[in-house]
Amino acid sequence: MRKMTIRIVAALAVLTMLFAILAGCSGRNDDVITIGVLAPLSGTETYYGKDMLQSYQLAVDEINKAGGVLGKELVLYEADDGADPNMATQAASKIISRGVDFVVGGYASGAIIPTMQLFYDENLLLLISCANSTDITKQGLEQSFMINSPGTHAVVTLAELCRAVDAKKVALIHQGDAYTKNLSDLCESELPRSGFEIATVEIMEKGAADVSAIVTRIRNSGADFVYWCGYHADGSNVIKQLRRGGYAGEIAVGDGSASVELIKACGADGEGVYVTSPPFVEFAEGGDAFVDAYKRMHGMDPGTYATLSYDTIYLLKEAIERAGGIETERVREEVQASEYQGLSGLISFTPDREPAVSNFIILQIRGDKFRLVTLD
Amino acid sequence: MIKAKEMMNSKWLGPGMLLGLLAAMLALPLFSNDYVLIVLWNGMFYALLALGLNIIVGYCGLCDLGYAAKFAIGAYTTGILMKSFGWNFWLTLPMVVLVSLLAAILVGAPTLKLRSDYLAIVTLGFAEIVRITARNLDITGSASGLNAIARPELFGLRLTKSIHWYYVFLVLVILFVFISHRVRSSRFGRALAYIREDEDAARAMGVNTTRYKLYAYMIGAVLGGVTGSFFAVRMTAISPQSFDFTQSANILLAVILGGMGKIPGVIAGAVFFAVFPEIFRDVPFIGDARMLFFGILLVVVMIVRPQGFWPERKRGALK
Amino acid sequence: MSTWELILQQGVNGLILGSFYALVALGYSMVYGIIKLLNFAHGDIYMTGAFVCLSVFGALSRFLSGWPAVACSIVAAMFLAAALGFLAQRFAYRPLLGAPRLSLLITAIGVSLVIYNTVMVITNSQPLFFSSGLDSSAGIKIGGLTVTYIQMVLLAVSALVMLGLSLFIGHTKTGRAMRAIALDQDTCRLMGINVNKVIGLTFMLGSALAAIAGGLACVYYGNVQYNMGYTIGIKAFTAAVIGGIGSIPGAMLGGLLLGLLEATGTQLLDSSWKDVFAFGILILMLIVRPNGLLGKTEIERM
Repeated sequence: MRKMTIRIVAALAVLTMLFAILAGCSGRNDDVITIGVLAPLSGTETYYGKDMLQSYQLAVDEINKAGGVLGKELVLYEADDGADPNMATQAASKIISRGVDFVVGGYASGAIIPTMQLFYDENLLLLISCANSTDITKQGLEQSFMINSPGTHAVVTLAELCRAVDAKKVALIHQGDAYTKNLSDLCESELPRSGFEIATVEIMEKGAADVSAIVTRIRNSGADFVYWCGYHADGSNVIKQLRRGGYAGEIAVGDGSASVELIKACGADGEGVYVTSPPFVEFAEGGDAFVDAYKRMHGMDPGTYATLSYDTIYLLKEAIERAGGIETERVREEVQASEYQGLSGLISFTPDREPAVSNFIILQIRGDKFRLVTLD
Repeated sequence: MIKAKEMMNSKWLGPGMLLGLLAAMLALPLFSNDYVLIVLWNGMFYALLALGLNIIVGYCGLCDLGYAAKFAIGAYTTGILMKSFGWNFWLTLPMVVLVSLLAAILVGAPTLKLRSDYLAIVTLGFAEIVRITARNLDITGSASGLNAIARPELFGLRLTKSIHWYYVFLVLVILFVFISHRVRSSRFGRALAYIREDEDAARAMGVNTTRYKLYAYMIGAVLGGVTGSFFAVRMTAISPQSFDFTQSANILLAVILGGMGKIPGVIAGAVFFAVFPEIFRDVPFIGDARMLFFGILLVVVMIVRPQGFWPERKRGALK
Repeated sequence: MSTWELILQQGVNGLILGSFYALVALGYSMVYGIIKLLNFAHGDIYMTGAFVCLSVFGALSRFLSGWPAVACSIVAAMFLAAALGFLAQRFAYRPLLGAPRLSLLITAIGVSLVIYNTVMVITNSQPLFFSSGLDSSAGIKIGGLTVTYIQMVLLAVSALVMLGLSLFIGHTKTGRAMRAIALDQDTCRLMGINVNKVIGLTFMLGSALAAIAGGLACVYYGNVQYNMGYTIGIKAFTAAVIGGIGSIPGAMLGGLLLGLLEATGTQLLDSSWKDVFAFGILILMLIVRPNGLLGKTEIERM
């Protein structure tokens, strides 16, 4: 009995040590520029994480083929944050240990926020491609930039949409996590200033199937516009139950649900649903060439955040070139001064390191496709 | 053969191994990188939580499915006092102890006389209530949680690097082991073991079972709370997502996998739990399915060794 | 909506949610009653049922459609879930029947991890969407009150299943054996009851019930995800305890009550406090009535 115990403990200790030694092997190579990628590569948000990584890869490949940056090759080093705060800190430390020069990524705001301090402590520049909670920049860490338009921009677009469809009372539904709650909070405080009444704010837990009680409450509140701030996995369910429960008003969904999957999942109930969306590649100028290249490389269509992720790498590349080196402080200044015209539009930054120009567009589900909506 | 057996049973083996391990842990940062330190830090963090829960589950035999709540209470108490009231981290610790005690009494006093399975659901329910409350209130930062919690200073050194936290948590583990050991070998600890083995008999022998159970619950809650406040300043950001049911289940798994009640077993369980998924994360295919293999392993371990890897020996028992 | 319509509508919502809880809670309660195991994998069996239903429906779509196809898919899901429940019982739980109860609980968590992660890897973590082709919004409208036909079928099926189960437990030889084993396993063995067989049967029955719930959820919500069993697992567990764990009518009552409580909580408070409301009532009730609504008072012997 005791012998076996000692054997087990010895095996455990050896395993741990082996891990320590193996994981400890990481040589710094000065001939390449290593970019750490922090994205959800497992768990519910895998689809987005892989899309981000594949877009980064495409950009890096193109740049390397064209001679690299300052004569150096770009290399990606990815770590899986699982869209979870605890996994994200471990992934961040893995990236830091590798001795990377820059970090890109960040899908779920709740996962990226706890890692920001770690990167800051190591003086690493962080370009956040997708996560867009305003809490990210509230931390005031000057090495972290947000590439995607924050919720404040989404609210402006939403208010324009509400005005265009002549809505009066808006109901909000979020999912109780950092990103969706932030979007809902912003709507709750900003929409009344544009003259819209907030009918009710509801929450649907992730993966909770039944929202009929919420639907009844929304109907009872007299709302004529429902804004779903959550993710696409549960979004179709909410839309279907709203329609089934007899809600007849307008429905719009936020950027977390901006996915072609949503159309398929909603079926007939999805007709006419609006999306305040990040720049979809289909509607981007010069997007076709990108779609072709992406398909050739990965054998699938690019996803929602492909353009933003792709632009992130190019923006970084140009900043490094202008800085003439990879020293963090110099590159940070150049990123701050960026006026990069990418697939997703013009990217430049406010002093708070948020995008200065909104990249939100409005889409509407028509048949089995998204259609771009232009408001006058 | 006989000689080897003698060596194994020698009374010096235990302390010798312990000292060797301690020396290895102390020296490790000299030849490893941040990633290793953080993974091991994570192992120690789970070890602290497991040691705390071990007093409730291992020593007293109470089934607690909501240990994340105890650790959330500590983390949020520290976070709120530092962010909203500008307290120094070290001064928040006595407050954390106090709040943890109060919460433990509030939940424990009316419910500890319940059947053990009902206690499981009450603790689970309480943990959900704590998590949802933290998510809904503004003072707890609602869904985003509390961010940019200041790093504390120790003897003039600001604790920012992984290596600092590695040593801080190593000291905490030693402290928790010491406390666990003292509790275990005290009269109180023996009373707890009695309750765990046969509550009716313990009551018949004049042990005030409800009160002792409450004490065990309080000690477990305080250890969890203190771990939580160190977690808050180490991460600098806490959010309700870190305190969900999965977290409670993980801690319980660590305690039971390692062998309830036995201190080294509990620590081994926690370290195994934290390190195992990391080792397999980058292996192709297995990386995605690592928790699947973990599940299979869990079932196999339980069937082969139902008392855990390293169970407590029952003195004088025939088994 | 008038106040009465509102109350009735939330009542319907609560009953539907509650019948899902009740179907899953029954399996929890039966298994607990017979071997004192909190079967954590039960929610995952529910999820598996939903996936099987979706896959079989897809495979059948060339021959059948509408309600017959739905019925066949759910029956297929029941059989597969029953087999899964039996396998888990045979290979994971049975070897541990004499072990400490906490070890058994951990094994159940292990089984849950295995099922959950297998489905996660197979589906690549993506939700699957189900479309039965049935008109999901057709139904009866009385003023502001809406009840769809699918909802009515759902309520009727749950009611029938529960009635059938009560008759089975109460009036058949196997049912009597189940009740007897719950009271005293050793004596049952002495009396010549094949205890292992009856335990296996209990698992199969409980899993089949969860699969019915899973299949109905697949048809009703149209959204199937690998993590869908988690929340309902915890809620059903709560429901079983409210009703008095181990008691069959208790599980049904507890499920329906929890569903109604949640609908009430959503309406009266706010959806963000709904679960606090449900769990708060649970804790209060356990303090006031520790054995649940219909549970028998018993002295626990560990």
